[in-house]
Amino acid sequence: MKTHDHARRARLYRLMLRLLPPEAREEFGTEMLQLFLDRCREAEEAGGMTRLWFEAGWDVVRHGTAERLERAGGHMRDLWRGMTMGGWIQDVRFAARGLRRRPGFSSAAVVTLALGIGASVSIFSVVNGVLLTPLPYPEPESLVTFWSVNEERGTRSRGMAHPEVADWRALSSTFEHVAGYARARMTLTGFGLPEVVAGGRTTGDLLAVFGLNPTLGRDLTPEDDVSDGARVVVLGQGLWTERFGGDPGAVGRTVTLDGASWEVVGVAPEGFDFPGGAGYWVPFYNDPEECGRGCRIMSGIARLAGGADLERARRQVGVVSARLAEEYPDSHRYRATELERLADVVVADVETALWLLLGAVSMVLLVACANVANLLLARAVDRSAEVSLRATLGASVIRLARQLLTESFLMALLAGVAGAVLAWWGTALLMRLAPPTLLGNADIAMDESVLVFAALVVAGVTALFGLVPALYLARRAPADSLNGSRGSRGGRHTGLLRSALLSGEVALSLVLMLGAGLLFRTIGQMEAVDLGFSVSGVERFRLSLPESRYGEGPVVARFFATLEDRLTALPEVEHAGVTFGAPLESGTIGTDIVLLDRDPVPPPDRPSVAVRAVSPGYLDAAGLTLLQGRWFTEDDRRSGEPVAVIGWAAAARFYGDEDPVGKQIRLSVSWGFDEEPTRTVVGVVGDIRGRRITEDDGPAAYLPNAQFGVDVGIVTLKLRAGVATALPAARSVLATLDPNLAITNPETMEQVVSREMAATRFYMTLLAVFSGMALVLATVGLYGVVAYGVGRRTREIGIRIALGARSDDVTALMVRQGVAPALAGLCLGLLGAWMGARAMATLLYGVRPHDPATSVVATGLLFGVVMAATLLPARRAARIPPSSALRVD
Amino acid sequence: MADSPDVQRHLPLHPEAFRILLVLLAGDAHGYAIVKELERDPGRPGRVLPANLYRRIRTLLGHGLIGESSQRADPRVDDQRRRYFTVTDLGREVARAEARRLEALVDGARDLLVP
Repeated sequence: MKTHDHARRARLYRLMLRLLPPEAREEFGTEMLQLFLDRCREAEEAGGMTRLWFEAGWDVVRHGTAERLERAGGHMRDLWRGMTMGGWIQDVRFAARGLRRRPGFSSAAVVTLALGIGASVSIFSVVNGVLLTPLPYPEPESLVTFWSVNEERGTRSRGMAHPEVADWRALSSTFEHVAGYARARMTLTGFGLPEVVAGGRTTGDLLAVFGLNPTLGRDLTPEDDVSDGARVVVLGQGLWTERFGGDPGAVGRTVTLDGASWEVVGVAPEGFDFPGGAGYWVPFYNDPEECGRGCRIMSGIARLAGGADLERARRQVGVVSARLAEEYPDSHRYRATELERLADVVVADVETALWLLLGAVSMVLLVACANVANLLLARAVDRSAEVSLRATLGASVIRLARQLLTESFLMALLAGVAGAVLAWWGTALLMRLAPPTLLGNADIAMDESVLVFAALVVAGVTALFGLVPALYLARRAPADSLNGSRGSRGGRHTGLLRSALLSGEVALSLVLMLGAGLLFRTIGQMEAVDLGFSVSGVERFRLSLPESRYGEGPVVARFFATLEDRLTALPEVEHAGVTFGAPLESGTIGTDIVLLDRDPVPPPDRPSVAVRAVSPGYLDAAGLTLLQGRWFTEDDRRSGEPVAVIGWAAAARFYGDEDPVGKQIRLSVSWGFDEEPTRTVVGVVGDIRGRRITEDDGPAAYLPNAQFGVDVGIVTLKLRAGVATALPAARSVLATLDPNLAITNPETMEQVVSREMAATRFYMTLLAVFSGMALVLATVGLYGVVAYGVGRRTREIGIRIALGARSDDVTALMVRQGVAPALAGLCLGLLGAWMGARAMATLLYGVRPHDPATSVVATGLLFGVVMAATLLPARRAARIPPSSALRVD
Repeated sequence: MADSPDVQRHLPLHPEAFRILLVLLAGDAHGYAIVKELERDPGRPGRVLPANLYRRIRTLLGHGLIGESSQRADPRVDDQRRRYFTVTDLGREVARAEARRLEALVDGARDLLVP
């Protein structure tokens, strides 16, 4: 037993030693084996044999690679030594002539590489624009945003309460400037048709936070942001040039926003439009009595003080938030504040996807390189007789290898130029197809870093596909090639190399196919989601009523009720309804809920619900499902009994098996009315996907518009069958009610849903294109290898057939040549995909990264293609008549 | 004293190579004995394995810092078939120069770090 073990170990270790360069093996192979067996003996006594094997394996891999690299370095030195300008020019001339002589081969290689390079550079230009270009502000790394973390629920939001801005401003050694901000939408009038313009509300110092100075006048200051402050506005460059013709005298004049007069106090610098495309900025005018520490209606942003690093700032913020939790338990218990760099927040959603796409496109490039390397290798073998002849005539082998490398480089350069043109076109195409969420405000252009990347790709590509054949030739002794052009040892050696390249191609193709497959299934899952509302034949638009003219909640509610009646009366419209907090649109209020039929719970422990204010017609207009009780009617007035309808999830979570109808609740939010009253639950509706298609909404509560009163409404119209749009009719209804109101964001629900899926669809399309490219290249490569093998072994096949081999045997023999590396590639690809799947998890929905069905289908599909590509030339081999085969040299 | 260019060329030595030279300065040894000696250093992480050891030995041999020794230990205590290594004169010089270099380095560090 012992001897048996000993022999087995020795055999295995000798096999491992093959990873070392042959010289090292020859010189010290015996000693290494001896030493290893000594160590085995020790391990046998002390235990830890498995560990020894792992360590010894790593030892051989590590030092074997290092020695080989050192040797390759020596080759490279030889390659460049003695390089003169004249020799270089001569090489280029030779190479150009070589390429011209084989136009078919050269153009196939150049086109293959150009496709790979073009695709890579296109994706890189997007990555460069979105992820690598810093934000266009001074010292962007000092800009940080605040996150409010609910430690109990494990949720995180950007919400910040007004008084907190002062808390953070007090940390003057940490923050140079702090500002709270929120988006605003106001109707601009006095310049032709009314127009709703996006803007920002700030607590002042917003420009200072970004390190910018106003072009004219001044920035808003904390002093402007008091509850009874004057109406002042800072204009963006757009409004200033459009509405005031860029007049420097604009400061001090007024604009009409939401029907009120605002004094222009400043103009922001060119290009500044934070948050999200803002065209003007106004103060919050927050009243701390009305909206205090629990009222997290803004986001926070700050500039770190000079010398303050993020880690230190995080610690200090941690200390302060712990203190706040003690001082204000109602609003700050379980709350922690975290800081994150603005640059990271801006790209967080798309970062994974973009890196994945860059990874995917690099795989396509690798496949292209492997393919061209394969072609070149075949040619190097074919040319070895010529090369040997030249070598015997006095050319050094190194010199010849260098010339081959020059040829590769010239090809890569041509491909690089063609690829740059393709990339220019590809980038434009990407920008047109990419969903806006991906690109944001990024400036995507072929700038110098993209060109540097392209140059690096060309150099890398040359190294990848050019070095293999060059080193192969450089290693061969001239005599080796002269005696026997076919079936020589060199042929077998390159056969192995070509198979390895092929396995790599198949593996990469499989990884890409699996990625595309997973995204394809994700889209299927997203389409199958029960959204809880109707999609087809539903149209909606947004309407906001200026506070200055509509003011109080009851007036707003009355206006929307009248509008709903008029719209329902239209012949195009079947149902009309109004909501604040429409599905898949920002604008839901989240608030705590008090269950009055349950034991009282302190504020931080109360469950939260998404609140939507809706009109009586909304149930049918949006296509919600009433499960229990009743929906709102015209009788649910301001003066009537306060009521609410809750969602299915809320009913299940709060009341379990009990009937929720008739229960009493109170919400902590109040909006438009003095105090939120105790409400009776009158019905239960089905849940909807309100925030995202892929996200469960959690508990929801609906309140009648008439009892809630929000001055912004999403008007939802269920169209009669066959009607494409009711917008023109809706516009004229609106004009009769109030000609100064503007419709914004008109869209059909189909558009809304497809917008939600646009990013996933885009990634899938790209991955599908990439995997298609890889598949075609790998198939061509496979076909080439088998066809080449058939050509090289024609004589042998002839003999076999003459000796009675059946044509099936010959086919099988040839197929094996392609199928073996392809199978190895499939295994490798599955392994790679298995290991890399985690990276894709965030892009998937309803399908696991290791989805077996996708793996089986993709592997099967690829295997089918592989079989077809090998069968074709193999069948041809089987039909070779022995007489003609034997005539071959 | 300045080292000759012949010696300078080999500096700095890879730490593992330096230790092997130190082991051999104490007396000629074969691979397994060198390994055992190296592993007596308590600061050394993990065990010394064959590919690592013989890569260093090949480099040292190639640079002429060590040579093969014809000397053999008593056949009763050791294996006669093993190959023994010995330090060459150049190896001795290089080891000395490396020690001086490290000493200067440590001196410099001490000036900066020790209060």
